[in-house]
Amino acid sequence: MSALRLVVRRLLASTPLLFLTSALTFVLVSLVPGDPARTIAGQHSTAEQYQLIRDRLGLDQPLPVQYWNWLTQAFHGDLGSSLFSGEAVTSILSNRLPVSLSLILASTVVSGLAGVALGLLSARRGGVLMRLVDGLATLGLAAPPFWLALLVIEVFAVTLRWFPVTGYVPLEENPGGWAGSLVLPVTSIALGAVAIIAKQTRDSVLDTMNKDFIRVMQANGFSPRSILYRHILRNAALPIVTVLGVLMVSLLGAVVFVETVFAMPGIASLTQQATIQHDIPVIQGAVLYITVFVIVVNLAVDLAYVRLDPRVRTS
Amino acid sequence: MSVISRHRAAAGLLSVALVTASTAACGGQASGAGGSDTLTVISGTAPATLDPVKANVGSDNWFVNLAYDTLLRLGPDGEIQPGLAEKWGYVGENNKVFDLTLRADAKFADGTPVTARAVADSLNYARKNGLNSATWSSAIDSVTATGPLTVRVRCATPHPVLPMLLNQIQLMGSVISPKGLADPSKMGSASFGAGPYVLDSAQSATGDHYTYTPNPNYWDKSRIHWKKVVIKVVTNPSSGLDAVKTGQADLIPVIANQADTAKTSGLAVINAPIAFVGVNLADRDGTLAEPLGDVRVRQALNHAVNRQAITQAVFREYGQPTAQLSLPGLDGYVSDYDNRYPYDPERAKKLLAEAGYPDGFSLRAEVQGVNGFDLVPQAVFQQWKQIGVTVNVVTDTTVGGFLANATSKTFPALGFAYGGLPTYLTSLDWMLPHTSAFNPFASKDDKLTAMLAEAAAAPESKQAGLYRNAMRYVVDQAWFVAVARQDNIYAYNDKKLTGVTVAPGYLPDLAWTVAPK
Repeated sequence: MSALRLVVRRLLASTPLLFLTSALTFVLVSLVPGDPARTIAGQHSTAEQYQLIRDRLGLDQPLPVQYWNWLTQAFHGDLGSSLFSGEAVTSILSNRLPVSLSLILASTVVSGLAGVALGLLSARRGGVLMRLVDGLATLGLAAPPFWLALLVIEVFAVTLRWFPVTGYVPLEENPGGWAGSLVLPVTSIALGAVAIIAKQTRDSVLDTMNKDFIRVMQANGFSPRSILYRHILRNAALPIVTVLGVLMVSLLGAVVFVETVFAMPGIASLTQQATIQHDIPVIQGAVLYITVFVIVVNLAVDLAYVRLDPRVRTS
Repeated sequence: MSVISRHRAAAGLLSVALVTASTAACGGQASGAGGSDTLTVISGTAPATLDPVKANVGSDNWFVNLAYDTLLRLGPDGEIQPGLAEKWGYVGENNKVFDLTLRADAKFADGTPVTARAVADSLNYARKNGLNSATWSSAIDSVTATGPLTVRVRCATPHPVLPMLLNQIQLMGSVISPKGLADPSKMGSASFGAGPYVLDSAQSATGDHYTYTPNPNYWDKSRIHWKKVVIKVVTNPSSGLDAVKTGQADLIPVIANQADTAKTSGLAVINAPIAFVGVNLADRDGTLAEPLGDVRVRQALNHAVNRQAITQAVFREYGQPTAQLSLPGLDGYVSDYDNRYPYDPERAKKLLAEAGYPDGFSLRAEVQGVNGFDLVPQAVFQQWKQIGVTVNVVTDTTVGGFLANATSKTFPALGFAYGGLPTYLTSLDWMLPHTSAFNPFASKDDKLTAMLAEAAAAPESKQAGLYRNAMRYVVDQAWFVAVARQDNIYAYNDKKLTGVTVAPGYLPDLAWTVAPK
């Protein structure tokens, strides 16, 4: 199958997913008790003031009508505006998207590079290093990102003062500051992920090393370096890429906490705040962006399969 | 590409990442709080809105006060000082007519003059749209310009604390320019005030940080102490305090269990009472929970609470036990009423038996699980168990959810946290027969209503005494179980800042008094 056909097929198949998640979010949010009009009106409002706000926000309309209105607007690129600040949802999200993307991409790159490097080393050297990777993997899995975040802040921000405690510096404003603001958050997200990828890499590489074709190559005098990088790693890459893809999506959960602890204005913390406030347009917009992100990641993983494995290309 | 070069490329990428990170590390450290010309403060919440009259009193004041001057100004000593108005006062008797004379040299940040007409329009906008207007300014009938610089406020019923309503704490007196009133939706992204600073939207990001720069048209340049004021929103309390500890920021509101950490890190810590917390016995006629209709039962519920223990556990030294709805320094405060209901479970049981409930009873209650507002009510419910009173608690996790339930008249008791106010304003929410989240059943007590009416119309010299009588009466009637006064606590870098003050009902004034040392 050509890559283009795969992309088109995947995108077509994803369209119902977008509808489904947006409709599901709408229903779920409406089931949560709480009323944004009540919050906006405040504790001193009269019944008339409260009713006026409900009318203005369209909260009195039946749920399907509210959803339909949102959907038709969304088709025209208008995701509505925040019930609280009145700011356009697209503008809020476009300000916050780079923050979350920076965190997720940097964490994936760092954990991918470091994890594969560690995994390869331990597969080749074995012994103490192998046990160390196993130990680190257990530790990385056991240490949740929120605990790691507090730990790295205490050591590297409060005591050593190498990095800022809070905040995000936009890349276009100051690339050095951007990288600096990412170091601690990315460390706390990536440590666990490095461990998972290292272990996965080691196991896949060892598994491939024991395959017959590798023995044949070794017997035929291929250089060990060429065998390792060109053949073993390539074969071992499929499960690693799968894990990376799953990891990238699952990092969203860790990002919610890390954005809050490091006071970074990203989409994950925005979604959390908006949910507490019942700010439906913001929640809908954020969920839409996140769904698109998940679709894109899955597509990228599939394309990577095509590139890495000739069997996928011909099937 | 050969295998080796691919391998090197990966190694190169890693080292680039490491080098960038280490350069950034130096940059991050050097930037600090933005130098001695910049004031950086931390707020635990983003402002609900930047429209001054729709913003939340307390949590949003800094965001509003920097850009919007108010007609009057409250000092830390509780005295009212001039603001955009130079002279003010009630005309005639009964506190129904109030005149303000504006200063002649004040301009909005856009350069247009602050006229009586603009002020009247702004106050009328606040009356119609203000978050607290339905209660606090409900007595006002009209606001009109009576001359180029004179404004008259007329009230249908006496309003004895208009000067308190129009200062920087209650926000309703924040004067908005005609340009701002022409399109209020723009107030979310720009400021339209006559304050010492203006919001710099290019250097701000909604929900994350808000930057203010000096207003070139400000009428008193000596008040402008900073080239830039940045309010950074950090919702995680420990990250916020860490930012101040490391010099990334200069000032932060903290919670009781952070105060010691702040002190040991070399920061200055100041505190003053801000609010009272407890359980509101809202169903005073016994509509839903019959026992609450008997004053002896309500008093029993007060005697069954060990205020000292709860206050110590929840607020440590940053709270004081109390049984009333006022703070020291405010007009209704009765010093000997903090201990009106000493902890005495035996007496409580006796009172319950006299009222016909020797074995206790059960009732429903609603608490707000936001900002730890449920801690004190939950402790109260635990202590009630020892006199046989059991509570089925519903915890709301959002403010909107709490307000909706509180006004639904399905809960006889409600947990509360309420900021200290002049008793006239408190009485509108709590003591007069108006439906509100604090008086959902619109409880009516003719004697109390008459006492409050007399106090509201009295000359200033007599008001405090009359309001103290009203407070004594309502506490005797046990309409609520107030438990503690809670402090407002701030930690700040006293090597950099001076003029940081907090007092009952007063917040550190970033716009005027917080200055470089």
